[in-house]
Amino acid sequence: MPADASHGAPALSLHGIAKSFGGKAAVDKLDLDVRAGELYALLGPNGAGKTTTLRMVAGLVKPDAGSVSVFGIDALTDPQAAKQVIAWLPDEPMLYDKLTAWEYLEFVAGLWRVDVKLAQSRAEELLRFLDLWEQRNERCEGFSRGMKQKTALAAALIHDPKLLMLDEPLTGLDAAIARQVKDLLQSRTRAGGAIILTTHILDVAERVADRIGIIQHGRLLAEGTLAELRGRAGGGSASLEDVYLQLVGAAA
Amino acid sequence: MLRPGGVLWLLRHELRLSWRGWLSGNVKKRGNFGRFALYGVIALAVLGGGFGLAQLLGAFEPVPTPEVLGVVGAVFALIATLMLSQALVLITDALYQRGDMDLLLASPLPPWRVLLVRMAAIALNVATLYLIFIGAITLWLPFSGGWRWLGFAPAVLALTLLVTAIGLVLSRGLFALIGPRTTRVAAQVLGALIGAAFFLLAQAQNLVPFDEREALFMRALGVVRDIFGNAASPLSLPARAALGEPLALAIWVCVSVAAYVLAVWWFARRFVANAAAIAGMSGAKKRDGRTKAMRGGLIPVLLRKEWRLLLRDPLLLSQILLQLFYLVPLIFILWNNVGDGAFSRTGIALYSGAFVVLASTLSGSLTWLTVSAEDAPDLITAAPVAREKVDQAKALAAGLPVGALMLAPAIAAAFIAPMAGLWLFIGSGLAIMSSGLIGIWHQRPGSRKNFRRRPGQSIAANIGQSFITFGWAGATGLAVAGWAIVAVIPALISLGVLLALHESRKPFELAA
Repeated sequence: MPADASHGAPALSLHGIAKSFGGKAAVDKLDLDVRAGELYALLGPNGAGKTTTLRMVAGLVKPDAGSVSVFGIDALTDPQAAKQVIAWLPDEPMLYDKLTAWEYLEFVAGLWRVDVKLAQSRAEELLRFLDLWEQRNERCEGFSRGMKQKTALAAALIHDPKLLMLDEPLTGLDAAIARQVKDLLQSRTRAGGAIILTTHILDVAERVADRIGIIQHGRLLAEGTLAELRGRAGGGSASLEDVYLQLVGAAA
Repeated sequence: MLRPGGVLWLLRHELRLSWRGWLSGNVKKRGNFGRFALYGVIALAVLGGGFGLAQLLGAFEPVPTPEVLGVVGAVFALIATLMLSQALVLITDALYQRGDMDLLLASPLPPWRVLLVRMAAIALNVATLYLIFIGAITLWLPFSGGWRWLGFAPAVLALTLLVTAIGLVLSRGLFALIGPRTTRVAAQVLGALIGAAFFLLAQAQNLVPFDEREALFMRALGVVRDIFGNAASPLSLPARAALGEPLALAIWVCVSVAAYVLAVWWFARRFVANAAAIAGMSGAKKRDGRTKAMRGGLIPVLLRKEWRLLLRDPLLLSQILLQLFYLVPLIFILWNNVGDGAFSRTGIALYSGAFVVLASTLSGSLTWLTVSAEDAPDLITAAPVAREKVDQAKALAAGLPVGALMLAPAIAAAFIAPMAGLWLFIGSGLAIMSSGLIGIWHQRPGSRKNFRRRPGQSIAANIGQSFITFGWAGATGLAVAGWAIVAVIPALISLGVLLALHESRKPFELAA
């Protein structure tokens, strides 16, 4: 679990971040803050700019403008230091078909320079937790979608990241494992880590997120706790789905 | 208008998929007139070649002597082997890889019809290439007086049906034994090996000394005559059919059609009765023994990862190693024509140059695989490591095995002339390093699955790579021959071109 992430300090700060593709703005001067110890759900329709935002934080896409700070580290001027504390799990797992789950974790641990003994014990812990221990010596090519997703999640956690970014993390997971993953994410935030996730399953965001941001056309439409968002949408006991559809519909 | 769900409607669907699959692999974008013009020229060349061969055949009467039957029988056997490997790949793809069998079998269409059409499409796919070439000849035969050779085309078409039938039966057994994925790889490796064997056969006259060539030819002719040349043997049936013997042709076509229909019926019954069980075979899981202790360090983990990926892809490995195969005739040509079988200084110099070319080519291919064909580029980019370091480690992963491979000829050369071994070691090392650096500077992202169709470098990088390869080869050859001072010239040219390629490199940038 994250060791020195101080509770309440900004885990991720995006200021005026912008990115265009072919003249079309994917992310448009977005400001966003995620606190340490917080699970932040980023919601929005397809093409709203969620994944591009996460890819800019992960150092995969260079922003046209703005700043990215991860636990006080400027991710644009010192990307390596920022990457050391970040984990990025895309919706399509980044695996090697011909490597076994165990070998894949060994490789990822090597990339993040995790101490070998520590990596080994963490790999075992994560694989057992995610119910993959029996399959640790099988090549990923034979894995189901859910098993691939779990292997990638284990790899994302092997260096004990302080900021975990998950793009549709529960896709392909069965109900029991999805529940375990949600518990795991919450335990990480309790230990001071920060998590930002995108999802289309609004029930998940409603249940696990501390704060929710709704993004459309690359801009933040609304942000806050579920209660705050309900307030913006007219109050009452509306579900997140109602609030989301109302806010997105009004902005369309 | 074809009736939806009918045999012809399904066949049109299959052929459309095949055609689009071919187009996506060969035509980069729609409306690429230049490419279509090229295909037009190729078509004209094929027709022209067909005309020439038809004229040649018109001058010969297809008399079924044991020798002629032997040669034609051997050609049929070779074609059948190539067809079989192709049919196995297509059957595996059609049933397990394309992923539409569930859709088709879940539809209200009778399953036998789906399978019948799919197998017919496979037979057509297998036959297409051969029928194009044979068709180009057959077209001219009536005008060249070679009408008696007209049996060749139906005989080959019948062979396609027979091979598809054998492929179906064989694939069913292989799927059960080793799983569809391994069956597919085995078939592809077999196809590649047969292709290489064809090449070596075509170069056979260069592989043996001049005075032994005729004896070798006679021995080979004797073997094929003994196998296929006996007109009373069923093994001569396809050759007799191809040579226009009406009864033999009728029997050959009937046997092939019957075998095809029986095999499809047998396969369809089993497939439909147990479709789920067969489909389940696609996920044959591979266990890699007991858990190994992890080892750390950026360079070691990158090296291990790259080597594991290479070693666990037999198809890729066979394609790379075939490059070695294609150099065999070159070495024999050098041996026969220059070295004259003796260990002359000039002979060793030429070998050394050839090995440097080999080292450069092999490391260029491997560097493309490790550097450009990364399966998880986002993972590498998201990791807290300098991109240059990763690329260098990957180029090292490509260069080290080639360097190890080059040790053998270097040591062999050192036994003959110690300095020759040293120069070969240095020359191949420099060629490997150059290929690695060019692979890093001029990356061409692509999928390792498309190794044979990998994107090409820029024209400048390609020409530069060739200059450098032949520069190092020339320098090595000259140094080995004892002209070390002269060798400085090609070495300097190589370094100069390398420097130019360094200057023209594109620095790594994140998605813009």
